[in-house]
Amino acid sequence: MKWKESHSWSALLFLAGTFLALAACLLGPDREFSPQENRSLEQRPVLSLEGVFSGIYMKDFEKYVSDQFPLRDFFVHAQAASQRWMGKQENNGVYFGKDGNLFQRFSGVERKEIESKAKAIASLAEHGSGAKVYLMLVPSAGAVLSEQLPPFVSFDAERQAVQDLANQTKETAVFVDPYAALEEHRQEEIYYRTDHHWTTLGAYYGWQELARRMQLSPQILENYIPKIVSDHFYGSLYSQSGYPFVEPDQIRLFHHREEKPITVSFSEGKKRRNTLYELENLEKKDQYTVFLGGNDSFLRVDTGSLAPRKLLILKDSFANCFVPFLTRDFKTIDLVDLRYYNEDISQRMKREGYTDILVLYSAKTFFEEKTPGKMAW
Amino acid sequence: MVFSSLLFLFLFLPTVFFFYFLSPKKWRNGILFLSSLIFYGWGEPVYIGIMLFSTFFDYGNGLLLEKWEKNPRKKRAVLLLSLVVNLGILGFFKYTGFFVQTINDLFSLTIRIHPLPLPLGISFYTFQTLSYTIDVYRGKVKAQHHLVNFGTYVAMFPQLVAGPIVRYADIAKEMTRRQETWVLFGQGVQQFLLGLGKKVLLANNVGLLWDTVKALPMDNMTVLSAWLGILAFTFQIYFDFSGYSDMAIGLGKMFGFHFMKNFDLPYTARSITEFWSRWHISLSTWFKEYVYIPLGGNKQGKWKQYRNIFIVWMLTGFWHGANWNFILWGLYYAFFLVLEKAFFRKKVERGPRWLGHGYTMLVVIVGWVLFEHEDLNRCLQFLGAMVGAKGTGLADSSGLYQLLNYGGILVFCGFCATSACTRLKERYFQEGSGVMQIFFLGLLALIFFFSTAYIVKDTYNPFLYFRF
Repeated sequence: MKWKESHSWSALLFLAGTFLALAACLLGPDREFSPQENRSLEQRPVLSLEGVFSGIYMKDFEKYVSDQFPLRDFFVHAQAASQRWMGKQENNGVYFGKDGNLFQRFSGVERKEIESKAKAIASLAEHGSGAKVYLMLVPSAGAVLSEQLPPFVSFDAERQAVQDLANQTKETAVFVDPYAALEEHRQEEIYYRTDHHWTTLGAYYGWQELARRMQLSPQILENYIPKIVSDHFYGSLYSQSGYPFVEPDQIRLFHHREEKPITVSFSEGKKRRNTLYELENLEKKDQYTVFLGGNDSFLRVDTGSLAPRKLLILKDSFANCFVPFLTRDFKTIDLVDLRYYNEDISQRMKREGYTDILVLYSAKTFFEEKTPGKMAW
Repeated sequence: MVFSSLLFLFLFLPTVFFFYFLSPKKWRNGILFLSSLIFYGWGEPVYIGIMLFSTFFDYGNGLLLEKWEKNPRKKRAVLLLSLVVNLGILGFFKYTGFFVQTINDLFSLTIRIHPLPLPLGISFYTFQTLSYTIDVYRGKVKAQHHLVNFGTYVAMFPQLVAGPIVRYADIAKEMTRRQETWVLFGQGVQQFLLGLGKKVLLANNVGLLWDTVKALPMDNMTVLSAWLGILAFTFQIYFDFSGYSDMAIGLGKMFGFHFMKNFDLPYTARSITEFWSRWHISLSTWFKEYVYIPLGGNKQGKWKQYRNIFIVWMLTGFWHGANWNFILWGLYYAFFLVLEKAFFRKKVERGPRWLGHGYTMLVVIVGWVLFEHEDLNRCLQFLGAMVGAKGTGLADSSGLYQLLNYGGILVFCGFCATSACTRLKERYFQEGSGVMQIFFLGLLALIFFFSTAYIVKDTYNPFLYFRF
């Protein structure tokens, strides 16, 4: 062994590295769930003859090895950091914005898809049993805070799609565009830095615009008492980009000065609680699920309000921090997430006799997901 | 299995090292053969049968050729059988779809066949076993009597799936007599890690740019975007292929084998002729030995030589893929090779550097456009976009963004493709002072670390909304 030469050392270090990793793989315990990736991890597959012949056993085994690889999250962070260092402006669909802000990409939408969604809205209005349909699409953070984006990136395509949809639903729904309201307050914390959602403050400004169009009782910001429930929120974009060098976000709940007791029933009516917030979820990685406890297919809120109106919201998670602002003006609020809801929505509308229907989505999800099309069933 | 996977690097390889190096020498080929079967069968649990058949078949042919050494008619029959069966298998799995499609197009028929998946590495191992039978027939090499030794030659995992195409004659001696040493192992490690870095850190990264540009609708393809995209592919295919070859050669060294160089800085070539002596050397060597020279090579006058070049390059193109654009790509190069031989090769190679280099890279880059577009219509549109003939403009914000995004990476890729980079490695790192060697070790460790990080990231799949 010539220890003066790099060759021998290379050999030794390589063998050490691979054998160390082998030992760590074999001896380390298997994890079941990854909070960072928000999914369950592959477990050791069962060996079977047909599994081997079809090749499925091998594929599952490789998934198992990667999912259980030691220091997995650390390597993901290292990769993301290296992307930044080599001059990349994005990683895994997330832009590295200025001041350590992360922005989710908008992938674009075809004209056909916009038309199809407009038709779905029309169908909703038709089967709404007389209820008025309000359509509100929340712009992506990148569309509002454009000065923080990397150079040459624009969300014009998203704005264009929203405007096209507004044109195509002129007759069937009231189109509420919170863009101007959010833009006016762009210097405030209206979007999270590490998560794709809008903050509670951003939701408030969006609500103000809706309140105007929907004739809800006006409020002022001072009527709400903000409560910081977390100052170490590392959100979805932190996970998606893998980029570790970001400041965490704060999550605020806005409690109205004259808050009334409410009842929330969920899991198909099997469970109840008396608050819109699931504070236990602040212990988990995805702290945004403090709002409504996450995404359920159907949720009913009995607000205790004396107002005669009944609201149906077809939504994605952007509505979760928005709902608390609506409790004063509706007797009941029903929340439907079409990703998981499989009943025919027109049946429900016939049964319940809603006075108002609100379609509240982020623009990105509304255009990119297929499930909002279920409105047309 | 692929080299750039966690399973291979951290489970398979250390295990194989453990058994290989702790075994007595006479067991080592067997262990290599067995691990190679696992390696190949892992990705191809059923079609491993074809590879094994090919092995047994040509092992038998080798013995028959030896037995009938003095009988030219019987020898020729065996050779013919080997050629027909091997090429037949290759043709059946790889080219049936193409032939049927062509017949359909020519005669307006609609014959449908069930498309068969292509067995892994079939283009490589059939060429390897053929090189064996042809060389035994020619008397260039003696037949291998031990099945395991022959099997090891065919199936050896370092080069089975993606080359280099190792001719039996080149490693016949090392098959039975080789010396694994620390130094050779270490050299292999260095080459392996550099190859891993080329593939995972350079090729995969820059390939993302080409993926993005490739997907652009033609109406949005500006001159800048088109050039950035094809430049990205030019680097991607080089670092991917040469990186994989480096890993193969490095692994070979770890086990005591010396495989020939497969890439020799092809993008520094100053003529197309020179380019092809530096790119995928094992393939062009194979075609030269077994097609060009039997056809007469350049020994039967100018016109026969040109004809031979066209035939060989048409086959070379066709070897790369079962589609017309690959054949055209081969003929495209044949055209330039003949042109150079007939007129201006010497002028361009001895002229100013930038002339030869610029001319070669231009031809090569345009060649890659042809290589990457199976739809010839879109290919022409892309070429048009490159020269601004589509009227989409010089640059748009999407192109400028990608320039910002990948500019640094592209420049670095450019550096790594030059001889300056190789000189840096050889003169300063590998043979330099102690400090430089330590620096080099640190660099290799970083490459290893980040390559692992990227491989982990490829399996990273976060969900925004929890999947029930």
